[in-house]
Amino acid sequence: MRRGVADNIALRYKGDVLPQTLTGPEYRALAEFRYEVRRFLHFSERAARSAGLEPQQHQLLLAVKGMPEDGKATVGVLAERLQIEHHSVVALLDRMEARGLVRRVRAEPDRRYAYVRLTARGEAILPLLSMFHRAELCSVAPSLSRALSALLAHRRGRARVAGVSGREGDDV
Amino acid sequence: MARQARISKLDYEALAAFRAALRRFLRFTEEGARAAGLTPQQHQLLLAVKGQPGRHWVSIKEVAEALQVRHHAAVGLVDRCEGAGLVRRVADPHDRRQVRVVLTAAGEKVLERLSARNRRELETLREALGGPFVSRGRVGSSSHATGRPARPRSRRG
Repeated sequence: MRRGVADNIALRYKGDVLPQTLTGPEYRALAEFRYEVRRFLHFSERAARSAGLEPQQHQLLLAVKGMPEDGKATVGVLAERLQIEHHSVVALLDRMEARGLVRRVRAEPDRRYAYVRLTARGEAILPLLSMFHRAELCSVAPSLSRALSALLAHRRGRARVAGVSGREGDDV
Repeated sequence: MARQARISKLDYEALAAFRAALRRFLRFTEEGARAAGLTPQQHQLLLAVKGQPGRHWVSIKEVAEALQVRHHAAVGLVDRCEGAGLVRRVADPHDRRQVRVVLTAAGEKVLERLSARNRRELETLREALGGPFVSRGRVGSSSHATGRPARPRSRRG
């Protein structure tokens, strides 16, 4: 994974204090950001439904598949990543297990804990959906990133920040 | 399947991390709106008015487009915001049939507070987005996979 841009940004803004009011262009950037996010989420929901999944089911498949190497997809972890209640994850898992998309596996040696794995069927749905999402995100990322630059640059960093990530996307 | 092989474990991790960061941000802003006595949609309407480039009003049609809702939903939302004293309808001086939606002083004030709060939360989201999806190599490989015009330069260049 390319970490260069994010690392640079973290350094750049370290210690910068954001003011309590926004300028006109900053409001515009925030509105633009939310608009692009909304459109991306709409795209994502349509893509999930066209693959025969509820949007929430797609997000659970992705959350399991996208767990970092050392992480186990327990109900607690999934609740945090999906930002839904514990019991909602359980209900979601029940529906998905019934459809053969995931299965619960007992953790050894402590069998009180279960974690979630994708079935072959769950695995099969994900690659194409994720490819569409990656493409969509790559196409929307430059404008999201430009909006974020405008919002987080603040006055001090403005000149230096103008060329960070937005420009990288422009030549695509 | 050659196309499917293009999605790597790191791609899944980056997609999942971005969505998780996005959900945390959206939840944070929704909680902020509710704590201020607004529904998340009302907050987004205020932002859509304030964020309109070059003027201080929006039409109902622009509300619908900005919030990605149907016309009648936009009308209902403006009704409720007007009832809560957050926006006002004023007649378009050039076309009396058209209505303009503007912020009231109370709407301005609550939006300012929410926006400053939400901006601070955007840092982490930027990291989840900036690294994996804006960098050159990743964008290049994606455009190839989707049949978009390839970048003119070599990926290694």
